[in-house]
Amino acid sequence: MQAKKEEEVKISIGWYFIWFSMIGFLVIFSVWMIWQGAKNEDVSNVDSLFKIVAGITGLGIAVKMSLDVIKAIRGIKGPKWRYRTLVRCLNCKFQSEREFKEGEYVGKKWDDPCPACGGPMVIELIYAKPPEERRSLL
Amino acid sequence: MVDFSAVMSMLAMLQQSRDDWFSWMVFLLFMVIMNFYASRLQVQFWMGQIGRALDQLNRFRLEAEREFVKTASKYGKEKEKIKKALDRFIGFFTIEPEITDPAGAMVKLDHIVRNREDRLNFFIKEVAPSSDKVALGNLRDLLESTIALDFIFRIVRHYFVLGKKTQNMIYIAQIQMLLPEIMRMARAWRMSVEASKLGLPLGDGIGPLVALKMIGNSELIDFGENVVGTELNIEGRRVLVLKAKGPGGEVGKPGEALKRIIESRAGNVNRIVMIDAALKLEGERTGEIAEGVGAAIGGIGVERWKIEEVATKYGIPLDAIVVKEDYAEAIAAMTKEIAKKANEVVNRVKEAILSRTSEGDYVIVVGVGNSAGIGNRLEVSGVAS
Ligand SMILES: [Zn+2]
Repeated sequence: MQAKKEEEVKISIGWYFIWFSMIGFLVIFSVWMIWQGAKNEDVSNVDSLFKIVAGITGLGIAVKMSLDVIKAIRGIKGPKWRYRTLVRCLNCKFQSEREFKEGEYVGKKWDDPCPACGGPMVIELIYAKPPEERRSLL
Repeated sequence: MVDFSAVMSMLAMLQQSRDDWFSWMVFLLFMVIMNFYASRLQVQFWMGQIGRALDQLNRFRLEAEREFVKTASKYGKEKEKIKKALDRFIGFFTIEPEITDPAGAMVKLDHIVRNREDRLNFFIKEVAPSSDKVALGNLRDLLESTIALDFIFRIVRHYFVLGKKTQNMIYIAQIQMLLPEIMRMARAWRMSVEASKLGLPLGDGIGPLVALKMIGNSELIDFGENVVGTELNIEGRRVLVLKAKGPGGEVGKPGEALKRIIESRAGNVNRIVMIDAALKLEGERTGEIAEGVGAAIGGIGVERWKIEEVATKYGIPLDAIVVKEDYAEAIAAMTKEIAKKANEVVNRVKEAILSRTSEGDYVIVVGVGNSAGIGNRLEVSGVAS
C-alpha cells in the first residue's frame, strides 16, 4: 500500500510540472508578442496592435491558469477549517469566543470564572468556520 | 491517432478548388473517421477524469486510515497492530434482511442493526482497550467514515478498471456522470473524519443541541439505550426532553426508549415533538426551520417504525420540527449557520407545546441526532439560564 501511494504522488508531480511549463511557455510567448508589437514605432499599426492585445490576453490566461493550479494544490491539501468555542456566563451577558480544544463539548463547565462578574461559565456552542467565508460547504 | 498530414493536405486541397470532387471525398472520409475517433477520444478524456478522481479518493481513504490508527493508538495499543486489525476490518459489511416475506422484516432489521453496532464496538474495544465511552463513540464514528471512504474508493475503482478492460463507453459514462456527486460525498466524509477525530459536534447534532438547551442544568434520568433526559415544567405541562447520551458520538435508540416510556405510562402521553436535521433541497437556505408532522428521525428506519407503531397504538399526535441542511453539512462539523438556530428552535418547540397542548398534559420532546461534542446538561449547579 505504501508503494502505491508513492507512485501516485509521482504522477501528481509530473502533472504539475506539465502545467507549470505550459504556463511558463505562455508567459514567455506573450511577453515576446508584446515586445514585438511595441518595438514598432507606429504602435497604432494594426499588426502591432494585434500583437500587443494577443500578448496581454496570453498573460491573462497564464494568470488564470496559475490560479487554477494553486486552487487544485490547495484542494488536495484540504481547506483549513477553524473550530471555535463560544463560552457564556450564566449570571450576566458575558460571552467570549476562542479556539476549540480537544476534549471540549457543549454544556461543559468552563474552568475559569466569568471575568466580568465572577459567575460560573459554560460552553454555549461549538461550531466550524469554513475557510474564506465560503457560501456553500464544499 | 488522426494523421495530421491528412488534415493539412485536405485543407490545402479545399483552398485550391472548392468544387473539386476529390477534395470533397477526402473531407467526407475525414468526417467518417472522426466519427469513430470522437467517441474514443471522449472515452479517453473521461478515463482521465475518473483516474484523477480515483487518485484523490485513494488519498482520502489512506488519510482516514492514518487518522484512525493515530487516534486509536492513544488508547493503549501499538500503531502496527491497529493498522493490521483495521486492514482486516475495513471491508466490513452489513447484509440487509430479505423482505420478500415482509412479515417481521423490521424486527430482523433491528436485530441486524444491533448486531452491527456490537461488532463495531467490539472492534473499537479491541484496538483501543483503554478508551472510555466518549472516545469509543468518537472512534466508532471515525471508523464509519473510514469504511465509507474505502467503500466509495472501491466502487469507483471497480468501474474504472471495468471501463479500462472493456473500453465500454457505458461503464465509463455511468461513473463519469456521477463523479461530481461522488466526490462531494467523499469530501463530506473527509470532513466527518476530522470532526470525529476531534470530537466536534456534527451538523446532524442540532436535535441533541436543542434538547440540551431545553434541559439546562436539570438533573438527568438515564432511560437506557443510550438515551438520557429530564422532565421539565413548561407552564403547567409536564415535558419530558430526551436526547442521545453525549458527548461521545452516539445516536442512541430513541425509538426504543420512547416506546418503553409510553408503554410504562400506558399511553398516557398527549403529544410527541421531534427535532431533527433534515435534508434540504438545493436552493433552500441552510438552517431554515420547517414544521410538519410525523416521526422526524433518519437512519435505517427501525427507530422510525417503532415510534410510528407506538404513536399509532395510543393515538398520540407526532409533531416534527426540522432544521434544513445538506448531506455534507449533516455529517461534517456543525457550522455557525446551523448552531445559531438552536435557540430559535427551542422557542418554536415551546410555542408548539403551548399552542397545541393544555395545562396538565404530558409531552415528550425528542432531540434526534448524533450527540458528538454535545453534553447532556449544563454542568453547573444553581443558576439556570
Ligand atoms: Zn458574568
